[in-house]
Amino acid sequence: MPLLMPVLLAGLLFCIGVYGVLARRNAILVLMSVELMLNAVNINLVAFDVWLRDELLAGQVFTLFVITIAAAEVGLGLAIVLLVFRNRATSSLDEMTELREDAA
Amino acid sequence: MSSTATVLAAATDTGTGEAVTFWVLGPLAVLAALGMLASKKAVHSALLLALTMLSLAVLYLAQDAPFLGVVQVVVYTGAVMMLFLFVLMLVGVDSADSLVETLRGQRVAAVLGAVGFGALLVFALGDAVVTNEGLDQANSEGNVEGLANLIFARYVFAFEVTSALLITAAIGAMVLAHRERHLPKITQRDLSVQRFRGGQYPAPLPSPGVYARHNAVDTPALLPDGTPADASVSRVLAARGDVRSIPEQASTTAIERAAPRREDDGS
Amino acid sequence: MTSLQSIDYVAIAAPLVVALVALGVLVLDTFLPPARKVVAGWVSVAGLAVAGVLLVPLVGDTRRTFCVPGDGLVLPACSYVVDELTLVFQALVVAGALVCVLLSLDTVRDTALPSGEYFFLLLSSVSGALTLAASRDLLTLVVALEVVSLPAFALVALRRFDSRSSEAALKLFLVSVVSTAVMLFGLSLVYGVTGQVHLERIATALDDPSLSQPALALGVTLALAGFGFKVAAVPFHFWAPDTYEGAPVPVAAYLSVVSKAAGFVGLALLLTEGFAPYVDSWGPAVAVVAAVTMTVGNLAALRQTRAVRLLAWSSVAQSGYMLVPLGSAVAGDVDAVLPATVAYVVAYAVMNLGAFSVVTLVGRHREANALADYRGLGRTEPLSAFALAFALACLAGLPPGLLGLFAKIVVFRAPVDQGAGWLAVVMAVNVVIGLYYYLAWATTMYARTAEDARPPSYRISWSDGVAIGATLGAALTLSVVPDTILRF
Repeated sequence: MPLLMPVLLAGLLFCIGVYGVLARRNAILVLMSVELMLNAVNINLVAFDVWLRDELLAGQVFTLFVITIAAAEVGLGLAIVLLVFRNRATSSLDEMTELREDAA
Repeated sequence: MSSTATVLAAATDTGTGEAVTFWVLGPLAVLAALGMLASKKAVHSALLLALTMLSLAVLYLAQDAPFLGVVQVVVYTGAVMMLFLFVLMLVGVDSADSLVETLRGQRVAAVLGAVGFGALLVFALGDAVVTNEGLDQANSEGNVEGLANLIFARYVFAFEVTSALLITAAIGAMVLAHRERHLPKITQRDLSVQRFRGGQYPAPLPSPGVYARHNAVDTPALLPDGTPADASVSRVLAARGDVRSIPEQASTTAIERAAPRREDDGS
Repeated sequence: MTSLQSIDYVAIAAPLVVALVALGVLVLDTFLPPARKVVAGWVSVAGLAVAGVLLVPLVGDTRRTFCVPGDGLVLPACSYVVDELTLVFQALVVAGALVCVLLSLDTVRDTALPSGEYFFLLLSSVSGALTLAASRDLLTLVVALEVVSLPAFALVALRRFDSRSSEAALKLFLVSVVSTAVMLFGLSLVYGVTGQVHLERIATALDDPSLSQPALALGVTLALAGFGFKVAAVPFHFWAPDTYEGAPVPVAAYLSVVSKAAGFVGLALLLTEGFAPYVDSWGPAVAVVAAVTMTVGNLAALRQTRAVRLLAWSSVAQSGYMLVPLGSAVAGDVDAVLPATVAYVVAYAVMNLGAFSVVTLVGRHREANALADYRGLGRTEPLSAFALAFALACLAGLPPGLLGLFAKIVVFRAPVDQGAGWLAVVMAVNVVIGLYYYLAWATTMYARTAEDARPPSYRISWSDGVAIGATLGAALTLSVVPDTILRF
């Protein structure tokens, strides 16, 4: 298995994730796109770890930490989305306009 | 060109099973990710993302990272995606969201950007494959014990900090999502007191009329004095004007009933 | 093959104590009657003070712990190192957090925030910041950065029935997770190319010219994004004004000082320890970001009419100044720019906390906290007005605010010495722009009020008074003896 293939896959998924973040208007879907980006990071780390034959397995340990970080972020993030939904009855980012620059 | 040749050479060296796994699951993951991006319904997006994650999990299993493969299934598809679905259900499944082109030429720019990014990676790592021969080395331990040893010995500090992260996230999520009760809970006793104190009709409302041939919700019941009980019919029907009037209904029924009986008597 | 690492408990005492006190506060709060919730805040103050005391024995020597032994080919490397840089930032974080907790005491009581959770989250974030300053490998760095950020999201959203608060948290959260993901992708490339996670070893590995340079350049650039968000550098700055405005004011102070300082120490560690051999690539990039950041921040600050928003944009601009020394680093002598960065971050923390303490005080009485609300403050609250005016003079870098002036001169010298003249010019122009809005605000307080409009007179609580007095005292002292921070 050449190294390039998984890394290209990671790059592709990462780009799809970035596009999702920029184009989606619903906070939950934006969060899903972020998850896709983090998954791309994990593919990279595992591929590099296997390729490097890292004695310290740093890549795999790093992946575990990234998964943990992702889980923690999603837990808290969805709580914030719920909170916003409870206060605003929407989770659309386009309607988050209560705080913004003054017209003046 | 040389990098492509090296890549091909490397591909023939390694296990074909792994390559086959990759060529099946890689495109599947990308297609599912694209589907997640394009699908109009949020739930479809979530399920397609779960599919991407499952393919990646199998990919990890094939790449000597069995523990990560399992963790990927348990944590990502099992916990994270289900949490996503759960919140989607709470917030409203119908929260449809189409890809809006907020900037002109956004998609073209995105495709060009992705191609450039990929080209950069090919250029960068094609080079890396030439200079290193890590692939030739034998498979070493990528097992669960090794990983556990490392987490609890080499990276124990980061591991401990992670525990702080998880506790914080759990408490943060709890305090934010928890809805505090500002008023005491209303008990059944309170409800009944409220009903009688209100001075309104405390008993259940009468049920609609039950007649031999017109047993329907749209016909009011008759009170003992023969007048229709308006409360026995749903207000909605009354507003629509679908309530049948009682006197004529009752009388026609009575006549219809009476007539055949007389004929029977006569014969 | 592995043995457990030896742990130097003296070195990790400060973050450990703060984390334990955080848990203690959370448990303690459930047993406190509603009238005595303020005890949780005082316990937090005590915990932070203890953490500050625990830093004292570490002065003057470098302690390393959680080390991985070398094996002939590679050097031994440690995950947790307390050296002078670390200590300065840890002291800064503890002191800044103390002021924020003092400012929070009344806010928590007045706005009925859940006190146990509030102080728990604040202290968790502080312990993350303390760890971040000492971490020397990518794993610890990333996880510590998340420990700083995650509680901050919850703190911003803690006014649960205020839709502005939750909107602010959502904006902060989304920008943060996106930049974290981008940073992690960059770090994964750096790991892939160098095969190392410890910063020292990455620096050693980067000296090897046979490494894939494009992948490294991409990795380093993307890795900077995450810290760019933390310090609110352009283009990751636009969360700052909205979030500061929607959050409780002490939380905004925390974000703009402690959390930003943590971002800077992470950035400085990554750049000067990890990516030092690669300075030719990131140096110019950071310089451009610095120039754009200070210009955008200052120009936007000119148009603000509300105090917290103005401070938010001003803190974006100040981030630009802090990036200037890093942007003018040159190969071979990267560490030379560290003292200027450290000096400016410390000076910024003192003066910005000074401004935020008075803004918090005014915000308790004036919901809108508009600049117009400060009219006449100089006559009714002479001491607070003086504290704010002095902090603003420092931020502007105008005498008598000598602290800000000296810090700006130190920062200014870096690009001049290192031959990045254009950056020095941009910075000079920006300092002049900054003068306008800082001074306009300061003069408002001493302007004449209309006869019928009764100027505000506030009863200053004990904790607010200590916070304002301490920051004013620190700013005055450092203006008189600036050598204390400028010698690093």
